[in-house]
Amino acid sequence: MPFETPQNGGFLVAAYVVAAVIYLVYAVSLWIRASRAMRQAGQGGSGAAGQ
Amino acid sequence: MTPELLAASRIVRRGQVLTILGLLAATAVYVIALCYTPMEMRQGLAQKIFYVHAPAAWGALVAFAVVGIVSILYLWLHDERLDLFAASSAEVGIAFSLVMLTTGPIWGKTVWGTWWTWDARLTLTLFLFFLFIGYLALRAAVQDRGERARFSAVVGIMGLVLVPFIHLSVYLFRTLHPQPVLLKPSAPSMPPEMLRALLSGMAAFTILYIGFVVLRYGLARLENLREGAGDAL
Repeated sequence: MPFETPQNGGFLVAAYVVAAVIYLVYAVSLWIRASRAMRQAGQGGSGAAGQ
Repeated sequence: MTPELLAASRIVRRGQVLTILGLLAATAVYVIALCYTPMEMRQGLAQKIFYVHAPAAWGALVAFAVVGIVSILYLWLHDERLDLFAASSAEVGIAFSLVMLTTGPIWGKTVWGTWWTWDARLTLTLFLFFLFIGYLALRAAVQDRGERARFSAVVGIMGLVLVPFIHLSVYLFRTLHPQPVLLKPSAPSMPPEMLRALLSGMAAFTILYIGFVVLRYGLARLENLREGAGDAL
């Protein structure tokens, strides 16, 4: 029996966008937290060295 | 700058480089999946969700297995760095699980006609996700570093026990979820173009996993140094 290929490209786009957003948001969150922690650690280190 | 701080900063830098490489590789997988794989005639374009969903599941299960293995090593060796590495892998595993648990239902809606069904594979995966949410909540709740590491190691090992059950659940139970096409005793059951895209996806998301974990581990080392300085005051 012949079948029709379903038209569901919208679901593909939705899944790819959701995945990209999750990975990017997590990468940016890690990046910001790491930069902040390095800055704070650097300030603490130089403060301790000055004392 | 102390040697510990220098080492942690170096780990963060390496993690940042690996994360960028992982994100670039993931972008390449998107291009390969969208432009260089054939369309499955019965499922339509939605079948290509597979190239994002399966590597995310792979990343999540690897991450949670690593938590369990490193937790066992922590209980044996009592090295605080192992505890920090396990916690880093748990957080990254949650990010990968989130991708798996969102792309799966989107694909499921097109193939099964429903967003979610309480079958063994899906339910166990959701349970694993909540277990590691609990793992991170536990770590946030316990102040004593030794107790926190010990308690969370036990939870991490419980997660490791679940991982093989999740992989084998499609054989052990009647489930809607398809059986593995790659990680099984017989040869991969898919056309070569699809297999290449899947393998590229798994390689790319493994690099991304390593990048995330190294970056998160460097951050954990920095936080640990700050926490240690706070305890000393």
